[in-house]
Amino acid sequence: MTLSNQPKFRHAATLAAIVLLAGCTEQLRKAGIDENSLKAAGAVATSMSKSEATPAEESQIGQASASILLGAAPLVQDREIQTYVNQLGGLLARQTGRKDINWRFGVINSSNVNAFAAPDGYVFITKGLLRTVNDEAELAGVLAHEIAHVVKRHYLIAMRKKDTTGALTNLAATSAKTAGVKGSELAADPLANVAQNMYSSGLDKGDEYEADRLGVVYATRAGYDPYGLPRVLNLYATKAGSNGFELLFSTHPSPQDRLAELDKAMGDKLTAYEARSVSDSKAFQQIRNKAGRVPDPRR
Amino acid sequence: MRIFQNPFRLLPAALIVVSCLAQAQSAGTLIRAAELKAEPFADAAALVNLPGDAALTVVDSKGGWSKVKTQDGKTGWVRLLNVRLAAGASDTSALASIGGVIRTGTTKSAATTGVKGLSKEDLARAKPNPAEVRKLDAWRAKDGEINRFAAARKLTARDVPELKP
Repeated sequence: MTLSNQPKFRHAATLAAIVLLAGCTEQLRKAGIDENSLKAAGAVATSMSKSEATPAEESQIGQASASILLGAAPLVQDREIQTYVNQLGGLLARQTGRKDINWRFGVINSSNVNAFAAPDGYVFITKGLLRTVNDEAELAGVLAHEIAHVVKRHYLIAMRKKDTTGALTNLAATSAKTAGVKGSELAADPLANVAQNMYSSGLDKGDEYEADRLGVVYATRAGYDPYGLPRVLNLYATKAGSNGFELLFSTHPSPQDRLAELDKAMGDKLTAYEARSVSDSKAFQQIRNKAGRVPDPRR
Repeated sequence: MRIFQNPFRLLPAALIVVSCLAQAQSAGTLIRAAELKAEPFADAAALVNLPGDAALTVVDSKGGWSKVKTQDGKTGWVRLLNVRLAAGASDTSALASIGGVIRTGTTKSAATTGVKGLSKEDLARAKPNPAEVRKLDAWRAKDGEINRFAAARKLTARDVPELKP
């Protein structure tokens, strides 16, 4: 029997975990709780705040999240555009070292400029973003940033935080209840609310900065020029207050702050990779032009 | 004057002219002292030493370099991360909103034009669309396709350590 399984300790640990989460370690020490107990409680606190979804649950949460995004606006119905983004995305996903993720990339038919990810390997860019970026390295930077959100489970953790109704924690129960009623589609509704809430309020600043750092690394690993993502952020900086950028700006730290963080992390560490990097391809320019001709969907 | 009788006839031409002129003309500030280089290379000739808070206009970018114009009219290259652009600095931003409406009728006007989008309002209105999610499976890239994609661009994978904050 481990220490944390003893009922008495479990209560103490939970209490300590709550106090720890509230940042009150000093009070605990004063109350005579020793360093080791604090550490054990810390571990409990970490596991409490961490995502513990099973692969099946993660898949259900991802499906519900993607379903909401595509409910707001559908995919671009063009096989050439979609397979292009899946190949570029697939190449970038190889640089993460994660072979267990079921990656699916999609271009959403919206002129709003944005990109999203969802648990279980969903990555989306909008048509508006595809025609706003200037070259393939810039698109690679954006896709790699979203891939990083999936790898680091940022969306899953954010959804748990916003899950006030218990939609995620009661996932198993909800699924069982509605199992006979055409499976996940009914069970997904409370999840849909959490997803809606999350996509309209965004992730933590720290998650965005981490995804920026990893995005630059993944794109550079794939052979792209390391400055694709910084160039996109510069482009965003010039678009503050522009039509079509509202949600992007309200859900992310300012481009200036993101560049400042990237500047700190990158320094000149990646300059050595610049010389033998790829910045663009003919295929990208063709796909971008084609995307520019796709009409917006009617309501 | 007859030319002004229908000013809207001139609008498309005016938009093109303005958008060409305004391409990537963005106000920025140098965040640390740097050499203004003649070309976008580390070993290119230095034209002048710029002070850490120099006001610049960014006119282009290439890889990790920004092409800038100094206040006294010199043009050259500095490292992209050494320049911080002002918010909404581009001359094209006002135009982009006009152009956006004319071209696509999106975002703010979405409610009135009946166009779907991905604004906060669109998200709030959204109903799950699982049929659309299922389409993604058909477009997934196979390993061979990804290999060919990389080979066509001569992309070579390399080791790059993760960056610390």
